[in-house]
Amino acid sequence: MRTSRWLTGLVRRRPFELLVAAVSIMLTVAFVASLGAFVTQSHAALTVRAAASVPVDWQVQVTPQGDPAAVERQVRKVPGVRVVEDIAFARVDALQSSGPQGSRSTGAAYVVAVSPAYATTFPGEVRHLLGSTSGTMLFQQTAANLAAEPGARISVRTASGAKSLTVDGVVDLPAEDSLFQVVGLAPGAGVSAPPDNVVLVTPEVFRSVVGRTPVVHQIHVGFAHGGLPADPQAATVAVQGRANHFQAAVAGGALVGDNLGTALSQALEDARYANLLFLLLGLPGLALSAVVAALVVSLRSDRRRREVALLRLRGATLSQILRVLAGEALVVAFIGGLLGVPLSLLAIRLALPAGTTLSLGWMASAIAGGVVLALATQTGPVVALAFGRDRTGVAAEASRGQRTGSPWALRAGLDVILLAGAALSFALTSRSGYQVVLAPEGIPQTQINYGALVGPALAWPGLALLVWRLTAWTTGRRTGRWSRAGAGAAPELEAAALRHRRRVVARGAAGLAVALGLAVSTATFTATYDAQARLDVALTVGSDVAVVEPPGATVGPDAAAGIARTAGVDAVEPLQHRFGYVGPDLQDLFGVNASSFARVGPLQDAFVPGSTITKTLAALQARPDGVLLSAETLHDYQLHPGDLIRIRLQSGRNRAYRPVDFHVVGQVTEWPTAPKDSFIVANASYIAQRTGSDAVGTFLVSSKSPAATAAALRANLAGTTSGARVQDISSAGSHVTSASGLAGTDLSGLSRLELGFGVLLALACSGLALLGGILERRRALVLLAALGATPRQRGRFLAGEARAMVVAGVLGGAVTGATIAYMLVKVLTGIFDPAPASATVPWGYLALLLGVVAFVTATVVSGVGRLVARAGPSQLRDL
Amino acid sequence: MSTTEAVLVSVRALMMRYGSTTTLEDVDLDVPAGADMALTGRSGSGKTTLLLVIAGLLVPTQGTVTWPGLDGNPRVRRGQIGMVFQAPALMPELTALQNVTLPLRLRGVDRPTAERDALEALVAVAAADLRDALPTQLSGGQQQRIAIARVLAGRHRLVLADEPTGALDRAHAFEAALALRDGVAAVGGALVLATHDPELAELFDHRVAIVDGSVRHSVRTS
Repeated sequence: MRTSRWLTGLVRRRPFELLVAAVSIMLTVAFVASLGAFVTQSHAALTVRAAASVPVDWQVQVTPQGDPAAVERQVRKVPGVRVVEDIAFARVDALQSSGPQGSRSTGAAYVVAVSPAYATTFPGEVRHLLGSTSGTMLFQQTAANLAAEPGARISVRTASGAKSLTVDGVVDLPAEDSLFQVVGLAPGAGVSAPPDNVVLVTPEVFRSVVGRTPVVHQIHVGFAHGGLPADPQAATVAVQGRANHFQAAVAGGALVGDNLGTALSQALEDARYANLLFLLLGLPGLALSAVVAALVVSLRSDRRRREVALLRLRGATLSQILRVLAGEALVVAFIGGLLGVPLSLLAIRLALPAGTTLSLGWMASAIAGGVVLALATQTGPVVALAFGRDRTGVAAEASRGQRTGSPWALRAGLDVILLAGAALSFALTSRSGYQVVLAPEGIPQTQINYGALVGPALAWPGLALLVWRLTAWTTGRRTGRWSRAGAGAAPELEAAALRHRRRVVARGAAGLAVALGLAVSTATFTATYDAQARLDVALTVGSDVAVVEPPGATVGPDAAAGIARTAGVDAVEPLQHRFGYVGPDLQDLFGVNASSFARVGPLQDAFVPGSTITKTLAALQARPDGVLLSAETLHDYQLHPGDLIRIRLQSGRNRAYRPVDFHVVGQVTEWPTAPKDSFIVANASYIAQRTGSDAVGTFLVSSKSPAATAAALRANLAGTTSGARVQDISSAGSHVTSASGLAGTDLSGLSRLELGFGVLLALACSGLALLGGILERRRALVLLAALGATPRQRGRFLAGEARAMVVAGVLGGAVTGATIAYMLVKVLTGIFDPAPASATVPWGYLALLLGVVAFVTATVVSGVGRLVARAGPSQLRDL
Repeated sequence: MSTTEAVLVSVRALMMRYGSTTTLEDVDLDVPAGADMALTGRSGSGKTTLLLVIAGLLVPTQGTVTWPGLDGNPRVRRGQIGMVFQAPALMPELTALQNVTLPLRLRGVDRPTAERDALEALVAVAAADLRDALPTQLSGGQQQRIAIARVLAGRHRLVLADEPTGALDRAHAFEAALALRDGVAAVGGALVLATHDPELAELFDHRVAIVDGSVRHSVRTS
């Protein structure tokens, strides 16, 4: 027997069967390749984002024994260096100012020498707020402490005396923590609070101001990030190696504050989440595509078994049969790969961000996966038969009927075992607070707690088998007693046929349940993520639109009336922002009008554990000196509702901190514009009364068209010198990333892939399972036609099976999807910010999915059923 | 053939052609009510084609086929014609009793009546003890008896049997053919049975041989 002749015959006589098998492999190849492109793209995006977030890549600090000029020469030799700026620090005794409200003096302060080009070269380091963009610039908090504005005179006091300067502008130092880091310590070790008092001056002024005060020289370096490896791990290793090489070259002359390396190593955690997403969302999809391929093969598994058995009976050798089977699988894999790669490129283009490419490695992996799947599914079911030496068994197989018993997995109770294991694993994970990505103490790299993935991994097959078991059980008990029996209907016979085919129905229902479960769980997870991301952005901005007053501004709540008159504004709420000391801790304090704040703030009950937002705000309003504190503060200071707490607040008159009595009302975890760590919420009127200042930090504005309203507000402010900034959620959305650092684009790309392939796979599962059932019943349908059954009567036999399969599959899919979505949301809690109180269900998508599945079912049953049941001469002769 | 008997089916100047192959040519045939008729011919001679034309399942290339003794409505007429195939052609999902019940239920007979008639038919072919068996649990001969019971239970005016004993050994073939003939006769129906066995054909009153696409009639006189 020649393999080539067999294959040629196969291509000529059964092209449709080959094509259907190849399409299933095509889906797998395309899915694997697309997911690979996602992983590559998300890792590369993490690297790019991490690198872009660093204001200064390296802070090279010249040691006392080092020569600044020699170090700079060496810096310029480092590969990839793009920009270099010299900078110098000197710690002085104090800064002073005098004005109409009297003299003010700070504690120890830093004078920093930067070139006029520094703010342009490193825009992330210095942000201009007021006055000139060059010359002597005060840090905003220092300006507030000294009550100094552009044009004011301040003096710098050193051991050598005082030097007077004119303030040219006020700036913010967004990366103050890293700017004033202690260079040479391990990342995160020995972190010290950044200084409150900083003045930036030109190098010329610096030399005249600091006198003989010890000076620290730094060289700030920016690299061309285009040359970095795409993978965060590789990029981290490359940058750290570059730093080590440089430090060896300067031989102790300088130390490197490797901000770029630190940021890249932190992106590794995000990469772990990307890998987790791949594992939790991608692998089930791959398994499902394998199920689809197996379903396709099962369409003709009985015939294949007969063919192999007949070949054995006719004396074909084992190697001849294996060659035939392998050749057939390779033909299927070849066509599948040929179709799958273009489909993956299309999917990448449609679903993933522009510029995403498919690497050769992933393409090869996808094709290899297709070949393995084709070999496994095409040859697996019959290979045991090919090896069989017992001719009686082979002969029996050649004439065997349809299998009706339960598969071994159900007889062994594997579904119950798997689900019990999933529940146990999930319970253990929940006890650890769903910590999936771990950052062990003292180890700079993060690790994935793979144990947390065991729950979903066991739940998938467990639920699929449970759907199989329940479908087979219920189908096996159908009697047709409750069916509507019109004239010519035989419900008891339809039910008997269905009972006999319960294995086929249950198998199809399980496949459909997994396909729908994947689509439902992915859609729910994505919708939840999107909802939380929108909430995150809203919390960051504060409301739909926010008018943020500059530091030191004394705009009162009356200004809200002016904002309210702007077109598109629905409501305005003033939000005070102060700082207060709880014991030694400086925390953000937010003053609100509790009776009306909910009009504008994106508030959820989840933000006030154990209560509701309405009740909590009512309680705050009822107690003028009430405060809401974070859980950390309540715990650390052993505070309970009703307890007295003294918070030191800055007086509006002399800026001195004075204790103010408050009483604890409750706990709060999130608040508009509040930081992630500890903060305080109190009544604005009480704060104004006790500090003598009603200055508002931010006006929160609710609007149905945030972008237009923000534009109108900016236009109003354009002609004023208030210095206020206007933010809105639509423009801020692109800048806000989740707590894990994964931007929405990462997940949306993956979910678009998942949802697209989910629909395809769900359709393939339902369509193929039905098609398989119809083809298996072809002879029975022709017989029915020969016995005088009308198309409607024949359709009832098919429709009963289709209905049972689709109903069980849809119900099973809903339960599977809901269970897996719940587990995903819990296990991947770390990816959400803030953590969701409950999952968001995308009803529209699910209704569409259900509609498409129902449409395909009806089309396959009516169209193919009618086609297959044709009772022409040749079909009747075959009876 | 007597022209005084009521004619169930009348075929005139029939020609059937598949592509360039002419299977039947200029065939005239009447099937009288209550008659038993054997249709003989070699394999591929056109026996099955002629049966399918008589059943109304195949439209002739040329010529006419009319059913003067059967209902004018094609759907009702389909119920008046029963068919037995070379292979038993049972629904694998249904038991023997359910298989026999099936055509009755499809014709709108209520379930108790259908089951009663089916059981009687199974008794007639000595297969009552097989009523709950699935086709895969039965031998070829047993399956064919169930198929015959199915057509008997239908009390058809006309039964068309396409070599129903072809897969059986000679003894069982005769036994099954006689059971079919007598069963159909018992309910007053006509039987047209295609066979390539001349000895089996001798058991029938009317014999029609298809030779080179044309038919030759003969009637048993003894």
